Amino acid sequence: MATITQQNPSLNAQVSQTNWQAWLLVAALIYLLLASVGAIGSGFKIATGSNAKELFSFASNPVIALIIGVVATALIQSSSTVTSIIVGMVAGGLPLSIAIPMVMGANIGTSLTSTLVSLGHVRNGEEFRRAFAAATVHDSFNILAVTILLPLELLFKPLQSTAEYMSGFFVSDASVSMSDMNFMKVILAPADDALKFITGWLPEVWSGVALIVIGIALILFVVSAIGKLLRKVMVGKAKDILHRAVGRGPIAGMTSGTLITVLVQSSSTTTALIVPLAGTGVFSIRQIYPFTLGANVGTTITALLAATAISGPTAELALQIALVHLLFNLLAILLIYVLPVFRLLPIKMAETLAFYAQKNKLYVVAYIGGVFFVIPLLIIGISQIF
Amino acid sequence: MTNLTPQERQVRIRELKQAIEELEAGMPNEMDEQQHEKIDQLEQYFDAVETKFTSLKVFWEDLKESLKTQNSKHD
Repeated sequence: MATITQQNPSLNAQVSQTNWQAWLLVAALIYLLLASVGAIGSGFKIATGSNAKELFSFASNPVIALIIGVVATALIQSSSTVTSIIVGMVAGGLPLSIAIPMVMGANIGTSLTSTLVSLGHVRNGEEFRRAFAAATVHDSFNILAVTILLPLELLFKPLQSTAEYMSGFFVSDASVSMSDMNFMKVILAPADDALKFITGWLPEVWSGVALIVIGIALILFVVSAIGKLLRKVMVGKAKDILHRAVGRGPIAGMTSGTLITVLVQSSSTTTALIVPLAGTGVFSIRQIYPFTLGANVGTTITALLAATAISGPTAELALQIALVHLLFNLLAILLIYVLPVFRLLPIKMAETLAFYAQKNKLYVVAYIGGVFFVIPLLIIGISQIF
Repeated sequence: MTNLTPQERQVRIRELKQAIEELEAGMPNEMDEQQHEKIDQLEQYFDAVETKFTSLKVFWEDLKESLKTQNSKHD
């Protein structure tokens, strides 16, 4: 690419103009993302008044909240979208005790994308086994992380307490420098006013509901559009990052996974990207594993970004849930990857799954249907009966 | 091989060990080169996330075929 553009200055100018336009579009989409997160927060406040807690009482059981996170993310195919919506909902009154398991569930739900990508290799037995193992090492790690950290969180609240401490520090720090003016509120005011104008003619509760619906629809559109755009703009950078990580061990793998996910704003893209590479056999599952953990960390940037859209008394809570997402993924790496007793467990789980998947494809159907849809919905159904 | 004297065997073992060491030493570089080659073709993998439902379709067709084959064996 560099040599072609060096030889042809007009092509070079065209490429930079296209990049410039793409970046402008990315900036506009990020603005829209922030505005839509704010709209969800305002929508919940308007629609529920101070009764948001009662509205979400059906999910007060943490396992149900976790399952909502899993199924919603598996259906939407984007944890960034779901966590951004959760940030907006927390700003609108969703209790953190419900939001935390939902965020953990989003981590499990997002791993479905790479598993679906691996299915494309089904016609080549060995290639399929390698691709499926590479995809499910992400699932296995995320399921193991939730199995360990959800009970710990329910008992001792390590994530919530740490996030509370950190968010207090950030918010108070920001208020020192911007005590007279809320920077984000000023920037987002035109979009906020426009959305309220669009929904303002409706009765109060319905205008709140309309804001929530518009906010969710906008987030779905924006996250997908940003992903598509960044995949085109960032392919060169992603190559550079991967080239630099080759032969440098797990920390470099993890860092490259984080960086690429931050650049493309989607862990699904990063993990789905690595699955065909693993299928070729050139990258081993042990090399893929730290890369997917990096993707888990990188994807938390979207919720952190979304939290900056919230101002006022709930800003700290919105930041807390975004920080919980980051801390959950960091702590999971510390507990599972750093501790030798757990480190190889996700690889063994993935290799066993891949072994059976290669033997009989019905195991694949049972695994995907069971983990992401049937078991979660059964648990919800049973909990509603009793 | 059995006709070799103990001294000759020792020499042969040393030669083989050296050959294995040389092969092992070259391995990481060759693997790294292969990985760099695949990374250079990243564009073709980058849209995998877009084509995931095509992957699902491919899998579904393959599953139907293998179930048909299984059923015909039972019949």
